[in-house]
Amino acid sequence: MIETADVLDFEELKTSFDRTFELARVELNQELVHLLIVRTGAARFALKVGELAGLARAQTVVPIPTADAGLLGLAGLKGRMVAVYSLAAQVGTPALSAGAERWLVLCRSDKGIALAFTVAEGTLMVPSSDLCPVSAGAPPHATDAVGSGASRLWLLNVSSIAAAIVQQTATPVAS
Amino acid sequence: MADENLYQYFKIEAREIVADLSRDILGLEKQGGAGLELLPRLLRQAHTLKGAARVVRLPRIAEIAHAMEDALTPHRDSRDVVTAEQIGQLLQQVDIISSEIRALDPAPPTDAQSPLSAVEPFERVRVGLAEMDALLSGVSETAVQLDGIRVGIEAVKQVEDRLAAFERQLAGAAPAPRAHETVEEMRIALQHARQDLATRADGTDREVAEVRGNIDRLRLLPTSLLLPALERAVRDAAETLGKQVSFQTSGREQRLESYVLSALGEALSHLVRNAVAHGIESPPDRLARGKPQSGVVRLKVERHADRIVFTCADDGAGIDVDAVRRAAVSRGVLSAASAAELPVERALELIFSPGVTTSTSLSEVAGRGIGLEVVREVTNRFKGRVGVRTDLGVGTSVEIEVPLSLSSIRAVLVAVGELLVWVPLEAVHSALRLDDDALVALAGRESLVFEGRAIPFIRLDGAMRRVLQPGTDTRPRLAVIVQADADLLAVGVDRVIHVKEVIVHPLPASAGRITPLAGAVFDAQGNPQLVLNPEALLQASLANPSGRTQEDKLAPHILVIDDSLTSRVLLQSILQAAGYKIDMAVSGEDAMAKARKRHYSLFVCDVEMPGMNGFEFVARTREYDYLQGIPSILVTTRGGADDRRRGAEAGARAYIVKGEFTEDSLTETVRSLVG
Repeated sequence: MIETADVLDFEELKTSFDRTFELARVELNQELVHLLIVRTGAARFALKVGELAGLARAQTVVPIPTADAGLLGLAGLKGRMVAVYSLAAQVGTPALSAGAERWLVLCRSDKGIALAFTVAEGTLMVPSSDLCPVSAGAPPHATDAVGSGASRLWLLNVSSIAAAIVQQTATPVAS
Repeated sequence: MADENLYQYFKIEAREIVADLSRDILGLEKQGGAGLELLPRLLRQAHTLKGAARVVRLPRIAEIAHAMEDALTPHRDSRDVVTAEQIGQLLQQVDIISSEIRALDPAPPTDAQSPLSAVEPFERVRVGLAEMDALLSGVSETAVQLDGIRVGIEAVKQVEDRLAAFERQLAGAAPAPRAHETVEEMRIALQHARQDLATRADGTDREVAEVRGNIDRLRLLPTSLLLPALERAVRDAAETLGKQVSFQTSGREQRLESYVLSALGEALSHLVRNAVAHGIESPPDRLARGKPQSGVVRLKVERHADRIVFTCADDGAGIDVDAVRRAAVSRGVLSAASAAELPVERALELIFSPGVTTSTSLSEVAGRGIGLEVVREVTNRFKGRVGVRTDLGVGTSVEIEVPLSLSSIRAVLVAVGELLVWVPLEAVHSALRLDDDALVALAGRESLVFEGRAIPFIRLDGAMRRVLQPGTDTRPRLAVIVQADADLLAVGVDRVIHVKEVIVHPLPASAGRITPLAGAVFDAQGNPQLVLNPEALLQASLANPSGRTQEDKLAPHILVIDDSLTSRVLLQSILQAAGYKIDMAVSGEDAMAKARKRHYSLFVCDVEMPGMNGFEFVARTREYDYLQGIPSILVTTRGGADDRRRGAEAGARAYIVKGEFTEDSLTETVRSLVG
C-alpha cells in the first residue's frame, strides 16, 4: 500500500480523489489500483475510484415515497438528479438510522445512481497483485479482498451494484 | 469568418422567417387570397430574408425572396386577391428557400430525417431579448447580493479588529476602560452583520434559483413551433390528392426540449399526412356518406403529469381492420390464421409494422407503409407509446405519448412542516380552509364533503410517506382539491407558499416508478423538491381502501340522484366501497344534464325531490335513445304498493325502501343490474 487510509478532511480527500483521475494513466503502467475507503456503520469497504464519477459530503437527500427501504431518496449532484441508495442495504449490512449516511459517491455508469455511506476515510493505491480473491462469507458484490486479518477490506464492484439496482427497478416496486 | 460561422445566425433567422412565411401564406389561402393584414407582413418577411441573404452572400435565396416581393406588392397596392395559383407558387418558393437553407448544413447522418419529413430539426434556438434580459437581470442581482455579502464580511472583520485591540487592552497592566460597553457594542455589531449576511444569502439563493430556472427554460421550445410545418404538410397532401381538409389544433401551449420537439415533429408530420391520405375521403365520397365536403384533421396537445400526449384525429373513413390483417399477412408479418384470431386492438397495432399499408396505391404523400413505422420508432426512442382508435366510417385517432425529460409548468408550492411539494397548477381545482369538523370517515377512509359529495382526503405527508420532525403540527389547515378527469381528491396541507413557473426534471430511471411523483424541481442549492402527480395519487387513493385497482376507470359509473346530502353521501360511500365510480346529482334536472355529458351504467334515484320527481326522471330516461338502455333503481322512503307499481310503470328495474335495505342488499341489487 502506498498511502495510508487515515481519515482526511473533506477538501484533502476530495483533492486526493480528483488527483487519482489525473494519475490513473501513469499508475496503470505500475499495475496500481486506486481505491476509495468508505465506512458504513461499523463496516469498511473499498471502492475502485475508476468506477466512480464523484464524491460529495453532507449532501441533502430528499426522501421519496417508495417501498424500497434501500432507496434513500433523491439528490442533486453535478446538476443532475440522482437516486440515492444506501450502500449498507446493497451489501446486506445492518440498516443505519435515518440521516446516518451523509456521504455519497456517484456511480460512473450513466444511470443516475449514487451510493450513500457514513464517511469516506481516504484513498489507497494498491498493487493489483495485493488483491486476493473473495472467500466464503464475503458480502454481495465483493470481488476481491484487500489486506488480511483484522485490517482486511472487501473491494466492492460498484458497476455490479449499479446493475443490480437497475435490474431491480426494472420491476416496479409497489409504492 | 468560416462559412459555418457566417451562416450560423442566418440559418436561425431564415428558418424562423420561412416558418412565418409558410404560416401567413396558408393564412392567406384560408382567407381566399385576401389579406389586408397578412400581405404587409409577408412583404416584410420576404424583404428581411432578402436582406439577410445578401449580407451572407446567398444570392439564390435573395433572388427568390425578391421574386416573392414582386409577386405580392401589386396585391398590397391594389387589394386584389392573391389567386390560388399564386399561392401555390409562393409556397413552392418557400420550399426552395428551405432547401437552400438545409443545404447550408453539413450532410446529415444516414439515419436522419426521412425525405418525407416536413419539420426542420430545432438544433439551435434563438434567445429572445426578454429572455436574455431576465438572465442578465438575475446575474446582476446576484452580483448585488454578493456585494452585500462582502460588506457584511468587512463588518465582521472590523469587529475582529476591535476584538483584537480589546484583547491587547485586556493584556495590559491597566484595566480596560468601558469593558462592558465595548463587549456590548461588538455583540450588537456582530448581530447586525449576521442578520445582514443571512438576508443577503437568502437573496442570493433566490436569484441563483431564478437564473438556474431561466437557463433551463432556454432549452425548452413551444410546441406551437411545429404547427406551421404540420399545417403545410396537411395542405400540400390535400392539394396533391385533390381533397379538402381543414387543420385544427387545440390544447394549451407546452414547452419541450428541442430534440424531443424535432423528433415528435417528424412523427407528427407523418401522422397528419397519413390522416389526409388514408383517412379523409375524397369530396364526392364524403358527400355520398353525408359528411361535409371538407374533412378535418385535429391535433390536440395535452400534458399528463410527466408525459405529453399528441392526439391526431381525423373525421375520415376509419381503418378497415380486416384490410390491415390482410396487408400484414401479405407482408409476411404473421400467418393468416394468427391474423384472423387477433383481437381488433392488436390487429390495429399492425399498422405500425414495417411496410404494412392498406393503401392500394402509392402516392407522393403516403402509401409506402413507412410513415407509421417512423411514428413507432420515434415513440420507442423516447420510451413512449402509440395507440390507435378507429371507427369505420367515422374517423381515426392516433395518440402519441412520450415522457417529458424537462418541462416547464406553473405549479403551487405547498407544505406540511418541513415537507415541501409542488402541485401542478393545471390539476388544482380549488383550495379551501379546513374546519375542525370538515373531515368524515367513509368506507374506511378520510373524506371531505365538497360541493355536495364526499371526495377522498389524503394528508400530504401521508401521500409522501414522510415522517415529519417530532413536534411538527401535522394537522392540515388547508385542502388543495386536485382533479383528474372527473375525479377529485383533497390533499391536506398546512400552508400554501406561492405559485411559480418551475422546470420539472424527470425522476432518474434508477429510482424506479415512483407513482405519486411527476418529477422534481431543483431549488437554489441544487437540491430536489418533489412534484406531485395528482392523477396517479388520485388513482392510488381510490384504489387503496376498497382494493380497487388501476383499472378503476373501467368500473361501472353510477349516477346517484337525491336532494338529501346525507342520502347522497351514504349511497356514495356504500357504492364506492363496492368498487363503483359515483357521480352525484341533486335533482332530476341536474341528473338529466349530467347524463347528457357522460355515459352512466346505472341511475340510483330518490323519488321525492323538488322539481322533477324520481318517477318522472325514470320515465324521462325512457324517452331518449341514449338513456333507454340505462337501468334505474328507485331508493325512497315511500314503501306502499301503489308507489312500487308506479315505479315499475315508469321503468325502474328495482325499488328499494330507505331504512329497510342493508349495504349488502343494495350492492347485490346494483351488481345484478350492472355487474
